[in-house]
Amino acid sequence: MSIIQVDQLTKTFSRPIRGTGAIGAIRDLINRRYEEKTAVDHISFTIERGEIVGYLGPNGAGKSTSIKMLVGILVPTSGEVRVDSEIPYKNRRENARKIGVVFGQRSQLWWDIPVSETFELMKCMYNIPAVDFKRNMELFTDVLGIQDFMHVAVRQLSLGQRMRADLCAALLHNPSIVYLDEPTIGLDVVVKKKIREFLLEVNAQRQTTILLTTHDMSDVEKLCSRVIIINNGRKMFDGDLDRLKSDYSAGETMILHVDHEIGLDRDISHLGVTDFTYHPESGSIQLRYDKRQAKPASILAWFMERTAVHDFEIKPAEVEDVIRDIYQDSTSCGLGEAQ
Amino acid sequence: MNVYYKLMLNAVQSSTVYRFHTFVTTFQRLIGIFVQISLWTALYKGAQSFQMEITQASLQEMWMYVVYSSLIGLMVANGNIYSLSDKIQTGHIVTALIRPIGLFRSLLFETLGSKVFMILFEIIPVLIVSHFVLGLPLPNIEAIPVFMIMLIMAFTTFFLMTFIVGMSSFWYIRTFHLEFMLTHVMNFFSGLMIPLWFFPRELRAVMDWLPFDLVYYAPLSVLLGKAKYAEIGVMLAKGCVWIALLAAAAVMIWHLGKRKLVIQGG
Amino acid sequence: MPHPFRLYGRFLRTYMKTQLEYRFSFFGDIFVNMMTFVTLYLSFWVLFNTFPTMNGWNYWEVVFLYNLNLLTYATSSLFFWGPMKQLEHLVRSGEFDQFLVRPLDPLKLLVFRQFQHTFIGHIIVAGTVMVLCTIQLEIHWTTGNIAFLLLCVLGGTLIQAGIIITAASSAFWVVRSGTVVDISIYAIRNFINYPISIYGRSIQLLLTFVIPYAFVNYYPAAAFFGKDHAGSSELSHLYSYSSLAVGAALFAAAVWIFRRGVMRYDSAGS
Repeated sequence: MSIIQVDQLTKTFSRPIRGTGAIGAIRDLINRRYEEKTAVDHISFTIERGEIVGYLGPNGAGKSTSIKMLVGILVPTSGEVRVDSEIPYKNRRENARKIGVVFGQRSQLWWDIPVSETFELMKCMYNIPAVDFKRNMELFTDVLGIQDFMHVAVRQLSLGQRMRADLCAALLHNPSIVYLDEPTIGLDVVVKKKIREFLLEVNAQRQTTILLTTHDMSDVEKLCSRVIIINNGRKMFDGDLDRLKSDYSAGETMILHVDHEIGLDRDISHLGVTDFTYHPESGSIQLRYDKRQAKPASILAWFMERTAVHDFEIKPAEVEDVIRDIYQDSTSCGLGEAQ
Repeated sequence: MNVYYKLMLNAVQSSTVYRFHTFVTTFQRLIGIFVQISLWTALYKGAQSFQMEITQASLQEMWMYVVYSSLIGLMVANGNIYSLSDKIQTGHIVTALIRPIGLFRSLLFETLGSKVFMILFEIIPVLIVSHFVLGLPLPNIEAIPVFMIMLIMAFTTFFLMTFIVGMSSFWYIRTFHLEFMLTHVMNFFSGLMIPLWFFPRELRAVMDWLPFDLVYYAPLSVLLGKAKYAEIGVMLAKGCVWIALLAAAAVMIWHLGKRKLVIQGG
Repeated sequence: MPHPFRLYGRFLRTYMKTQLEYRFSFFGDIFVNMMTFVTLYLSFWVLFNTFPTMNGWNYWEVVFLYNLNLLTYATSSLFFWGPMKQLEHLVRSGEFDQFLVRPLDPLKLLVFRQFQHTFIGHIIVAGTVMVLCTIQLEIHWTTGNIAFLLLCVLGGTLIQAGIIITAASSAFWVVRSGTVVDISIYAIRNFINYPISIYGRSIQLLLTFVIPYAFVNYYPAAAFFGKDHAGSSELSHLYSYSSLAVGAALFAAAVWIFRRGVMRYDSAGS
């Protein structure tokens, strides 16, 4: 039995249409019209216990709306969602005991008291047995190093410290599922690394299912075995990371270090170049092409005829580029089904 | 001069955005006026029932006092304390050292800009309501010139006071403590709620030396024709002295603040 | 003690401990709040220096009335002022979500995370002055009196809490709920700082049946001092003893309204 089952999940919002100008405003008073906006459009997927899934999509794609339905704070318009066999919005508080949520930049901790005290309060609120509590605190100390600021009031923590504290607080009651919304945003490299190690450790030890929303591609690469991409309320891709790369990695990037800028208004699309930009600070031209349709050698030759090229490099498809392509591909609907 | 004009325009434009906010504050203001008027009416009726004559002012004059006091409040209000404490605590005050416009002048023009909007959308409605609904007579035309002088003095005095309190942010984080105390001292000692002519002699003697009554009582007493020439002269003189003192204090505190910035890096 | 309240009790102990570490600002907050009253009592004193009576109420009675308002407001505000003022922002920014992912009722969660210690000064002053007033008025304390007063304070606190919760709950339906709150707890509450008999009948009706502020201080104090209410009759004597009932009913209604608001938030999103 999958721990998360989502079937044809849909959420539509009614938004009032605002009339323009004075006449419109008066008309609105008499006869309010609404338009339907579909934020989540018949999405289906299942997640097994212990998976770490990256839940990606551009802003406004419907990610947070669908997660809210999983967490139980939004009621779907149609479709089914089951978390651990229960319907989340029907039993919000029972569901809350089994999950942990970290909302990115917003802290859920008690603001004015030391971190250690917040944890004690959590212990009280979730009825965490002393044994589990102690074990978790040891884990947190080992991997995240929170003992350094345990006695400091949450209000005074730096962003990195607060993020770590929030993560601990979310995992303190051994939830079976954790939802992380942009957990590494604004953090420095060192802290990010610690957090990723921590998540992997928790996942390994307890089979905690993790659903991760992020724009940071290195998060995705380092943590996620599977990726679900949402755009315009629909599922665009659902599969493991390797498949994502192999299916969609036709796009490559070439970087040329040149003497001077070439009139890039010339039409070089006949070479198969999809986009190019000149970076004056580094004196380089960056361009992208589909390697199935273009020949890197021809492109290089073309440039060498027009300017002195000091150096070049070819970069294979980055996860970021792949995903950007999928985001921009609004004509396709629901490609790449899982399994 | 162009820069100052732009600052004012800016303030006017951002005021228009908060149209709803203005409507609400005017509504709250009218409620406050209503409560005060009910209060004075009850007090005067009570005196009447005791066959007591209130010689200092008539009930109708008190009604006018309440309304005009509220309007003067609108005219002298400024955002100095909030603006300064915000700038100082975020560190943006440093730009005041760099920019050619003086800090003082930019604060001034920001405030003046919002006054234009305020006159149109807050003062005039209140005047209209009080004249047509309450039947309050409009003030005596002869009193207006001196009143304007008093008003400018009131504005300046309060502007300097709030400037000084705002500057204290350099040394004391909890600026709102000082702001609170200033507000409540003002509420009582300035004649905002209760005209000074009701105060016992000893208390008045103390208040004569303090600058607070310049902000409300001075312009109000002139506007209502309650101040004799001698009194007006004294108030003007006191105003000049206090403005000079406050200005000196303001300059000094700004220098101290600047020094702190430069030495400690803000 | 039921579980969530134990949680709050624990938090309060920790919070006060932490606050007392910053002794200067903690006591500074309280001290400054207390200063505001010096000027207030002076104001009343000046008025009564000239005027003999306020609709049949003398200086000490009016000061008592004012403080009963203040005491109940401050007590309710210790717990509810912070989160209710914040609610508009929480709902509009979507931050309210975080209160729905815990195994605790969101209203309790909002309250149990904080404590507005700044109101402690108000409570000390209001309580002390009220006692002072009764001494000056030579009121004889009996167990009946004291019980009555305490129940009225409790009722009044519940009314204040009920009003601010209801006003804040408008955040779930209306955009500018912050103004609704401000108008309710500042502009309209201002009316009961004086005996409501100074206003016309329509205001009195408003303050009795629509926004029942009059039950917070006017009716109890009028009974306490043996005053005739504006338009008193047998029935109106009932009002004096109804503070607790009105408070309990209003508070329950407010909590219910809040819950309905959360349900709306659930289905409407933001």
